[in-house]
Amino acid sequence: MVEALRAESRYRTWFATILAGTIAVVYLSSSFPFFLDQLPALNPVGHIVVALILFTMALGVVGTMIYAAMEARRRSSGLASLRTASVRRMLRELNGIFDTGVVAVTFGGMQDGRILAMKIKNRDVVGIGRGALAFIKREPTGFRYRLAHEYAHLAVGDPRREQWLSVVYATTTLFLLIAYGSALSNTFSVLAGIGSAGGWPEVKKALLGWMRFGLIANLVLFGSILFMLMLERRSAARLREFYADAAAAKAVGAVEQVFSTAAPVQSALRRFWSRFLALHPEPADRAAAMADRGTVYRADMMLFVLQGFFSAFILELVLQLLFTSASATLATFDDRRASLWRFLAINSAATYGTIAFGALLAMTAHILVLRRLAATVRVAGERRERLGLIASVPFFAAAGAFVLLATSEGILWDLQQTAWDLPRYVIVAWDRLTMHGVALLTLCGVIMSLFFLKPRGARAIFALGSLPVLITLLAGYFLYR
Amino acid sequence: MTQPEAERQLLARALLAETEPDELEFFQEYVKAVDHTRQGGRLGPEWGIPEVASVGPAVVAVGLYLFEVFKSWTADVPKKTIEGFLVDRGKERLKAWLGAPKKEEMGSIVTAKGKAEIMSILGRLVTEAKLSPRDAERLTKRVAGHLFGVTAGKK
Repeated sequence: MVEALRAESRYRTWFATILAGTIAVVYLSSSFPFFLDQLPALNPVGHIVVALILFTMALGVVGTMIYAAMEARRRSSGLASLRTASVRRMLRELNGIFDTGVVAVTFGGMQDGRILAMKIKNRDVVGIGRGALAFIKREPTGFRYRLAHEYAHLAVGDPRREQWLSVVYATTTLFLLIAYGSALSNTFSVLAGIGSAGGWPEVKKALLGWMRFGLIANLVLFGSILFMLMLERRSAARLREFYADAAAAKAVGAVEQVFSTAAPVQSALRRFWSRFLALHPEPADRAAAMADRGTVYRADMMLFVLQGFFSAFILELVLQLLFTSASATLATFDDRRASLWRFLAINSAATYGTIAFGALLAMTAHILVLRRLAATVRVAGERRERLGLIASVPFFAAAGAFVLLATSEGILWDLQQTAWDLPRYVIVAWDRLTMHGVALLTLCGVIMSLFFLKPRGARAIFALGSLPVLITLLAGYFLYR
Repeated sequence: MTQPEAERQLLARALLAETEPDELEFFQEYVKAVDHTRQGGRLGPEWGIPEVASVGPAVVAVGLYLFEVFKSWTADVPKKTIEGFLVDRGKERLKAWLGAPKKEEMGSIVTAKGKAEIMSILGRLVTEAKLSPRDAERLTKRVAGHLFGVTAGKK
């Protein structure tokens, strides 16, 4: 089981890294297209390559800062080695079960009742808050289960991956804020010009008039991306807790009294927080998951949303790069087709390269997600659980694709140009929407088939992951040939 | 550990032995916990269910704090500050008691006013420890029992 969970954690980390990195690079490069255009030979993707180089460098800087902050936090938390007789006895037993060499430290003050897993240098460490030490004596069985939960985190490699993802997400957030800041700075510099020429009345007119759309669209775009990233991070964290609970139960047996089964009375906001944004599932859900694994898989639906979102993101990115007249309201289908063939004639290497890069990126994301799901399927033995997952795939994946399209500045602009007339927009942008539809349907198809076929080999998953990309490419060829 | 440090911990150790004898192996950690007031940030994946505060660390905090209070009573302070807290020759007896805090002896060293003062300090410390009502009552009874021989609540 630990092996399957380790694989799941590894693929989840890679997928999140690729997703966050791609989004950060694309938005930074599209915010500074001329400034970053240092590799003209690679156009139209030269600025994206430069942004990618910057992102890689920024990972190092942010990583160093986060590492330094973590070290400071450890120092200030008063970490000290814990070697009392009862702790040593418990660790010896668990080290034998998990085949590890975990050591224990204690930290914090008398109110600090946390129990946690850490990786310090290359040592696997469980930390026990000084306020929690009493439980070793008071509830030895429950405490052993709590420790086994932390052992499961360490065996799966969660502390190291959490540190890595903190670096990736912090860098991505930084890049997105820079991109958003640049959009705001452009707006305010234009406003300053308007203000100096026409004074406050002109500024007010611009703000409430033609600038309003851009301001709102940017806020929606960057806000939704940051929100999606946060949802994924939190969803993965909650899922990880369920898995650690399950691994602990397998190692030392389930201990029911560690979770309160009473569901607390909560406000709607609090319920939303614990369902979507909390780092840990509710204790009542954790207790339920011991008996019903469906509770665990319901926590993983965010993966489908994210995959739908990312798949549509890559396709939209490639389409925007391929068509100079991408906007549906400024160009017809024939214009877009002509633009594509013109690009192919002028710089076929870069154009085919862009398509190939998008295809490879999408394929990598699909394969990672399918491998991650394959690990889940291995654990999800019951037919009912699998059917529940299958039924939710189209809905959640479509929700992700919809969020991407609904928050895309380009699509919002086109809709505004058609006076928010959706049928009219569909008529002029039918080719792009068809591409998105094909990509989404094939993606849903392969994810659902995974639960039936239950492929184990890397080749089978590679073939499944390639299918949505190949079919979308074929659809594109027949559409624009 | 230095001699004054060991002496400072005597009362706290005696109270822990009285209240939670099983937890004596964590005594030094509880002492460190008292001195550590900052709540640090996230250090790694956590268990995630907050536990209520426990009696052991709280009783050590009480012991260390009361030691400082008693020590201040034995120091050369203006008489008015502790007027009425100690019986005749109470200062010398309290000084000796701090070196070997025997059970139930405090009652003969302090007056009723002194006892009320100690109980008031104890009440405040127990509130600050954020214990469950049941644990708070148990801790109060045990400490009072250790100091004054008042009927102590059963564990």
